[in-house]
Amino acid sequence: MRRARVLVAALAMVAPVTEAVAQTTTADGLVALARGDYDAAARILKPIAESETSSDSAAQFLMATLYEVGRSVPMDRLRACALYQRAAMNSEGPFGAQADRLMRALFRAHGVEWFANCQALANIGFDHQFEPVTFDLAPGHSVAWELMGATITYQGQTKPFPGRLGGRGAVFLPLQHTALRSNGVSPFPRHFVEVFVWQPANGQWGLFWHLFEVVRDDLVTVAQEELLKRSSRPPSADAFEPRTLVRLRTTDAGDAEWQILVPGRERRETIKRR
Amino acid sequence: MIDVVPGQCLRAQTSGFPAVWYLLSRVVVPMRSGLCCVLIALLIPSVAAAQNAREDGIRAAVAGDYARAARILGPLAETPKTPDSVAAFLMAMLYESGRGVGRNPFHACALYLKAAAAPGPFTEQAAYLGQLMRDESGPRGAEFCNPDARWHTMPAARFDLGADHSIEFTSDQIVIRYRGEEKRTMTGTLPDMMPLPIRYSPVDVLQPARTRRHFVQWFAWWRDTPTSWALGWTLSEVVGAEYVPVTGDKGLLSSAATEPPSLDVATLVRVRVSDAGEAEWVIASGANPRSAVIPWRGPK
Repeated sequence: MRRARVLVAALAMVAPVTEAVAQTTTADGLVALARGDYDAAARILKPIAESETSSDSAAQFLMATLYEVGRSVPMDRLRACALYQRAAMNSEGPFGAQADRLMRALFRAHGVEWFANCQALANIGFDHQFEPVTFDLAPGHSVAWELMGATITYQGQTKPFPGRLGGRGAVFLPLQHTALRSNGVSPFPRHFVEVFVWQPANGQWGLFWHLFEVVRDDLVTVAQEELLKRSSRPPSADAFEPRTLVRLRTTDAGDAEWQILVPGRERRETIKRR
Repeated sequence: MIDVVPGQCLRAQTSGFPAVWYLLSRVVVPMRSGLCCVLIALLIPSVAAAQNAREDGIRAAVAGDYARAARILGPLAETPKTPDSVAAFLMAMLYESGRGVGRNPFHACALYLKAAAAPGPFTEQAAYLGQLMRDESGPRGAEFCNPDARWHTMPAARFDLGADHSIEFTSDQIVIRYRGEEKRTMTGTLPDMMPLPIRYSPVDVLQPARTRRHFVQWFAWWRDTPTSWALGWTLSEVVGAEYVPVTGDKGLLSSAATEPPSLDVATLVRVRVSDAGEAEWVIASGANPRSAVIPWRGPK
């Protein structure tokens, strides 16, 4: 009986605390900042500021200040810039107006190319999981991918192909490079790069597939499809194998071909040589 | 309106320091534990009250209740020697954007520098923004963007000049309403300037026509040197929807007192009808008594 009373009392004490934690707000974050508790401030503000649905310019501004100088989070000026940019979208409020000035300061300090990445991050979001990668295709021939697009190096020249493949909230899977030999037609393999990206829209997530071929110094778009839709957040890259949905192969006739394996939507198409 | 104050001196920035720790380190620690406890007990309530006030101000600022935020945070930001750096930063934002207070970029700039001088979460951003605003202020920026200065708001006033004709002074604007038209002019105070109540002086002239002319006089004490005050004066006329400057004087009087003396400005300057029936201003006392007719600016 006594134990039960203690338990009830303990629950009564815990309940308001957990409720308060659950309802932390931007103001709580700023209060924590003001009293110098930067860990608590970052814990409160990060999910509010970096949410893809957030338009809380105060939280975005405050979180940007933490990233800018590395207080309780790793110093990340690119992320600070992107958060300032999002905050600056609301130029009516005082936080938005100052965010714009601080974003421009970072632009001046880091230059145009860096700022393009800042804009890309602001537009795509902070959980994109994109991993920059360079695929070596042959001696002196490679393709490097970043969030802002691809760059082909061929015979000592580089050629950029700017363009984002994801919108706001996009989550990328690791890029995949496939070299297909064409059984006697040509001694050189053909090089394909696939980009898989989850894109949220209207409460659903779509898995989009983009197929490119690298032809000497050119990047050719071969195909793009929405492979899947799901209502819940996509699984992590480790727990998901896109090869169960689409594959590339060389046909018996020696042609390159892509195949969609999604049940009910199976189809295939030869990839013409360019 | 801001026809004022050359020669202000830029003084060294205040080195801000959180009050609690300053007191504890300088006063309490060397003392015996009993007295120490008493002092801490005395300090804690006021510290807690300040923190609660700051928290209220912060919550108001985030909630968009900028007027309330300014009422609470303003005094904390302006505390001499130990300004609250977070309050100073937030108030700078409000002054710069004109939310909850009259827009005043010089005051904003000074508050950013104040916030930058004290350790806090926005030190780096405040330093950058303060310096940027100071640079943008031009050659006089260093004078006007002064973190050590005291700031006073423009006195609010409204005068009805006639049917469908009025002038209103807010903390950052002069608003003239005339026959359905509304004309706004930005205004504001400068550092270490203490504005006196605005005076409206209607004058019924006979020349060049029998009519009523509307004059506004604005007096303010300002620091002409670090140890003296000067009384500035501007005279303007409201002509229809226009606010037309007439004349002014940077130093009608001066005073070496710590605080400016109180005085009846009506005995110092008068606006009246001359013997010829025209409007004239008269400086009746001070260092340089004089008078002049105020040219007619209405329709010929």
